Amino acid sequence: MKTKTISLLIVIIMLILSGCEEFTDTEPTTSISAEGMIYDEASAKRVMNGVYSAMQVDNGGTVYGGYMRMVDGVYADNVNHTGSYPDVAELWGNDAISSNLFIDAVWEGHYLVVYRANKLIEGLEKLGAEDIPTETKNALIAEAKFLRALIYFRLVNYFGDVPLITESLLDDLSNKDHPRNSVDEVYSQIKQDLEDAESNVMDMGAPFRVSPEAVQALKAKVYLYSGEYGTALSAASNFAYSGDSPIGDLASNYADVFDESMSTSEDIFKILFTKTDGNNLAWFLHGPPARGEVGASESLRNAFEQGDERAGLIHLTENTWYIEKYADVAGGADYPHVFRLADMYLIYAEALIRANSNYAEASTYVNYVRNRAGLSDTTLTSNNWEDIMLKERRLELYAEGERWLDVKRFGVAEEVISSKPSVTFANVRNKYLLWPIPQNEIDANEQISPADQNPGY
Amino acid sequence: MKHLFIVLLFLFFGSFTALSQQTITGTVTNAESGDPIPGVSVVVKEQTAIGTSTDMDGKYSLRVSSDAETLVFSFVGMQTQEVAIQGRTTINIALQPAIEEMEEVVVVGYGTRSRKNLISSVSKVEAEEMQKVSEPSIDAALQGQAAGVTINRNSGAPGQAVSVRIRGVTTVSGSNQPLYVVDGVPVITEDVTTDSYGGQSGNAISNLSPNDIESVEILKDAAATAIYGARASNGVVLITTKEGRKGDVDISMNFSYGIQNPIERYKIMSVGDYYKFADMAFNTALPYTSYWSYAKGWVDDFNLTPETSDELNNLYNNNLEGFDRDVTNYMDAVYKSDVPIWEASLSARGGDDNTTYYLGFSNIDQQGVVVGQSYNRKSVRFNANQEANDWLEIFAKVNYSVEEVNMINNDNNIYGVLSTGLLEAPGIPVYDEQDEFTTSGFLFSNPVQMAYEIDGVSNSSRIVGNAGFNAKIIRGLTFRSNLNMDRLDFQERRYMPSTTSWGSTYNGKGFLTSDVYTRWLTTNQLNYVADIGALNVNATAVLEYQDYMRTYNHAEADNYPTPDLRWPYSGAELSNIYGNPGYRTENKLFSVVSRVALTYDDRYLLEGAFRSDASSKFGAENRTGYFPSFAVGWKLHNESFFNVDAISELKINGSYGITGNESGIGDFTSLTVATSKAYGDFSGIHVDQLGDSKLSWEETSQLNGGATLGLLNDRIIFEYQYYEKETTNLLLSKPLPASTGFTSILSNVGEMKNRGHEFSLRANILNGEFKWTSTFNHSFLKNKITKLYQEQPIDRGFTSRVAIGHALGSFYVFEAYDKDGNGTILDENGDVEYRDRNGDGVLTDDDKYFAGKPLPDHSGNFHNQFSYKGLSLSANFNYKQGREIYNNTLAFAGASGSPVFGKLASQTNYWTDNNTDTNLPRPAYGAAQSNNNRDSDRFIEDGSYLRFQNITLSYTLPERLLQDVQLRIYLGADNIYTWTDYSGLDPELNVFGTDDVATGTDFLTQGLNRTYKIGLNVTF
Repeated sequence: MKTKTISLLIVIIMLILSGCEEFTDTEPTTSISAEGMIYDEASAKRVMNGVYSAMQVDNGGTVYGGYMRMVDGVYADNVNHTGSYPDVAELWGNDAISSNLFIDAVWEGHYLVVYRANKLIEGLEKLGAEDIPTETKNALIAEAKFLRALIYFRLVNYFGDVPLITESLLDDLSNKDHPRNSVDEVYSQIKQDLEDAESNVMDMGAPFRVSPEAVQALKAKVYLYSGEYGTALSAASNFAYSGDSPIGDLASNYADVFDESMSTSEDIFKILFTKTDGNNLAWFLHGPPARGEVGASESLRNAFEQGDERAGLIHLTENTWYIEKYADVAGGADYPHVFRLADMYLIYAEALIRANSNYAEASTYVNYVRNRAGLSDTTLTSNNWEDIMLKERRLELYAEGERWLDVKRFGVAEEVISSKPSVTFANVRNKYLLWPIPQNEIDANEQISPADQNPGY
Repeated sequence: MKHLFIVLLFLFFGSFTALSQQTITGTVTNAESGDPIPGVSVVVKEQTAIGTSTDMDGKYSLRVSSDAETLVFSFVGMQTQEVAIQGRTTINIALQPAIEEMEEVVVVGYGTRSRKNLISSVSKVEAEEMQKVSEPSIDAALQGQAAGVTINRNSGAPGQAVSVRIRGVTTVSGSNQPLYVVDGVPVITEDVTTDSYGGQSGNAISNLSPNDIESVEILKDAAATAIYGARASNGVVLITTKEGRKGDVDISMNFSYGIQNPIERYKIMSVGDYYKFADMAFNTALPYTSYWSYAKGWVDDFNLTPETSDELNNLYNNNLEGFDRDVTNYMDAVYKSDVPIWEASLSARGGDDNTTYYLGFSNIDQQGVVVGQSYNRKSVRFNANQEANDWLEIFAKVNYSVEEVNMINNDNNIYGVLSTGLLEAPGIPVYDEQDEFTTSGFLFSNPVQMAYEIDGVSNSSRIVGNAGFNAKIIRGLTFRSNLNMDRLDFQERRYMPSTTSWGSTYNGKGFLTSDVYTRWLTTNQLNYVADIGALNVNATAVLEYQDYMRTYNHAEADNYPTPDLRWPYSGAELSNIYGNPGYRTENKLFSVVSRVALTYDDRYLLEGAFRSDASSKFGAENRTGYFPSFAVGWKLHNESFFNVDAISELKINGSYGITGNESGIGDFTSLTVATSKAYGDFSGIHVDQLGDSKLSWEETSQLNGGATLGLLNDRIIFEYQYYEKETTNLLLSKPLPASTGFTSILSNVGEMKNRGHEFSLRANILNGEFKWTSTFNHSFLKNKITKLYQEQPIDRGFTSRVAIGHALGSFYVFEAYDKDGNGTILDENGDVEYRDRNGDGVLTDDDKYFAGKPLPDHSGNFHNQFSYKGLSLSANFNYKQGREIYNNTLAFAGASGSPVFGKLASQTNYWTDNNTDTNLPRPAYGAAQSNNNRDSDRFIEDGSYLRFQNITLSYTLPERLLQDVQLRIYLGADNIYTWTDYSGLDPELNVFGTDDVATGTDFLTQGLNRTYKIGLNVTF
């Protein structure tokens, strides 16, 4: 009897101990080790898709998704706050505090792209010709650098001096802190990246991926914003039109540009979304049944001339005017543009004037855009061109993320903000031109102190 | 027993001729019922070999020698009584039931202790007390039952998880729920709800029927808990289920029926008051009044001629006769009254010399007080023990239960029934002319429709099986082995038909989530007990291994042909917005445990335990955790020098030990990994987690000291315990600059302290025919964060903050104050004034301060039980004092909330040009409204309360009337009255469920119910 018991005991303990050798062995089913994830062309392309996805919906759609459009929308005068998020209300009043959730999310989202692009560039640079054809490798690096340049161009315009990070976070976290770099330093990195991109870029699947045209479009804007008008003009002239159509190469119908089922000649670079991503653009901007967190401002609606077809994408639903450029409320699969031809025509026109005071040629390109909207020709002169250009950009590109940067570039930001019903004069302080460096960044980054915050915050 | 009788008989006859003899006869009866008791042992104290037992009529006859002086009467369950013979030949005696005298056994980890030998801090809760309240789940029923245990019922919705906190809180990232151990087996107790119903989460311990429970022990100090190692920092709740009993089968039936009503409902502002408010807000904010007149919009809905000002004034004055439309009060339309809760249970308990069994079945059904809510649980339990031979005992315990919970969206959810019921502008027609629900006009959704038309159903089925054996190896040494399987199949289905505003976007949307938790565990335990002279040794060694798997599946589809088809099968399009379907995750734990308890001469007690836990969750460089503990005790009352008659027990105890909490670590959190991430249709990869290879459990060392004092033969027992818990290696998201591409990495970086005192007093005040027992528990708690990564505070919830020097989850807000000295916190425009605390001239986050905390300083309960013959009355009060609540409901539905939201009826006294003596700001929109509605101490309220929790009156019919049938009838009431200054629905609520950082936060959370019930209990 006792022998039985004891042998039973021994058997059980042996059973347990024999199972123990592998007791710590568990394998995740949803992830792979980050180390060595880039080893050939296919793996690098997978990681590239990860970079694009960061511009999409990661972090709530803070680069080209719904969050971003709300934030840059309400900060200028095209878009009203019609919902209930207090942090959006704060931005609409141009009176954000540094812990504003949306500003924080936008910052985070942009740097997510930077991290992934850096990680990819580093991974590719380690590969030799035996792993990946050199041309492909260089084209992928060019693609990553283009995306990095695009993000820094946005960051520097929203936030001013920003940490310029070109290497990815190390495992020991030793390089986690970066100081703010000056706007000039950031711009020279952007220009460097663009130069590298320009020489190796290939069409990787336009309009949803980089192409030589996308690089030129970004280059035109970057140089225009940084005041090097000659270079801006030569980049923008890549979009000059040589035929005789009254609307150039633009899509014949304005609304088609925003129809995600159509590809138009106007697409240069736009972001792909599927239902799985849910970009929230329509969710926040569209009227019911969407959330309708923001709507069209009265000043935008009043700015349209009679017969302007572009006003047709603004609808009155339940007492509120909503912008319905993004219409897929259920799926969230609209494709927001990063660059489209109408934008580039206007950029080209602006560069023509700023570089060469060529008002006549500039008028042609403005009129392509006006004619497509069903409006008659206008003539730009040295006296009126700024007003017309601003207004045309406003009406053509509303809710596409351009307005805030335009009014800053034209130096009328203060005026525009003061005219908003949500802004009382007292709120317009010196802080409105730049968004605050998020408090979380200041708190966590040992190289940025509260004293480094943008003025007024 | 039979053998003993024969021996006794033999000895009796053997001594027949030795001395002169006399015969004593008599009857032994039960002092309570007067019934005779058969089988009572009657022995001579001086010669224990001489004795007999009573016959079927309670009669005995015993021949004793002439030098016998005292007879001892003893019987299981009765107080042993000694009677001096004093020459009498007839001695009749009535025995008192031995409830108090029976040695109280307390279950501890991997064993039991007699209460008198307990030197660790353990609270025992009798199942009977817990069964008095109408809470289907045992965790909620623990409310007000033990010192140092704070219960929070976070929502009044049926079937929701309950926060059980033992001696404070020790973690920020993990769970603060205790480890639940049922019959020696740790069970799965995570919050299982996978989808967001706004603060509501499922309760995994609710699978267990309180009817099947014998007792609950709550292990509090490290000496008691450290034996559970890396899962023990939050304390351990040991649940012991009912076992069989030798003897005839006892069949017990219980039926109870109760009605529930919400203690409080939201009272919403009338249509006129609301539109007046909204228009004033828009008027002051915007120049173009006509466009923004909400009221006019409302009037226009009725196609009235716009005699604008008259119509508006009519409306403002709530003069709604002219408006030919019924105005539905949303709250009245979704709340129900006198909602039933009933329970039926049946159990059979019995056995013979070798086999004992318990069989229990129960069915409980609770309807919610809001339309669309219900809870049902059916469970069956079978426990059996078989003594196979004189050295082997085999046992099996199986529990199977199915639960169904019907939920509505709630709380922080724009499709929530109560949230939209309050926040939607009042007066919007809920039904159209065809009596269908309307969907237009609402900012978010039709609250009444949301209650009626949306499905939110969770079904879980769970089987917990435990089988094993006990073997006696040699004298004093036993081996116990058992294998346990726990499988929880949790399924959640949700459906939004196309008729709802939410569902219409997708032409119907529905999903089905399945979460299957499977765990197997084997525990193998050696026990050794020996008396070596005056030294008693009790040693335990355990090997334990568990494997825990979770498999998750999610199906989601849009575009349904008809609202009658409500499962994803019928959707024409698949969608997957809410996370990736289909994965499995797993962790493994291997443990070695040993413990030695020494008792010397029943005076000195010493206990030491040690556990090592190796878990697959821990980082590769930190795989194994070690958790030692020891305890000492001194029973002063057993010392020869101690001679105070009134003091029956005086024991001092002390302990120190280390425990862990691994719940904050996910199965693979310690790894740096890349997961899939698609760009459109192109699959991709991205690095989404930085891992710390040193990642380990959070470690809590706890020092405990206390004393137990028993007075007047233990009629009064007073216990005091003091503890200090220091938690290090607190798992926190170490913030990283977002410019790195990551915002945080989980690391062991913080520290936290809990310190407290616990008092408990149990007194049998009256002990005669009329009995009165009284229990009073009180605990003090101080919680403080002592270290964070780079001293960086962590924010969660609305205003909850983790910051050094403050209690967990303290509220960090702006301070509203009377800046201009006009007697109110409002300025001359009716806007809120805030203190610029750092004096820099601008109001920034740096001007916020800590204005309150959700953890109570004091908590406790006061319980009284009176009984007279078959009648018994018990009443329990519980309280929490010294805590605050952040009333976010008020931030949205108060005077400073956005005018597009409906308002609370209490908010009409807002500032106007003619009403300046108020602290409620003017109606405003835009910047002024944002300013007035800043997260400030205006929304922080005193959350202290005293609750008359339960009263139960029961009557047991005398057995003589019913012959072998015991019949008990009872009446009870729960949550009878609450004394509190809190203005919201209930001070116990939390919108963030069982979270402990974001807690004490009310945001449109459903309140608790008041319940009256009647019940019948029959045992035969």
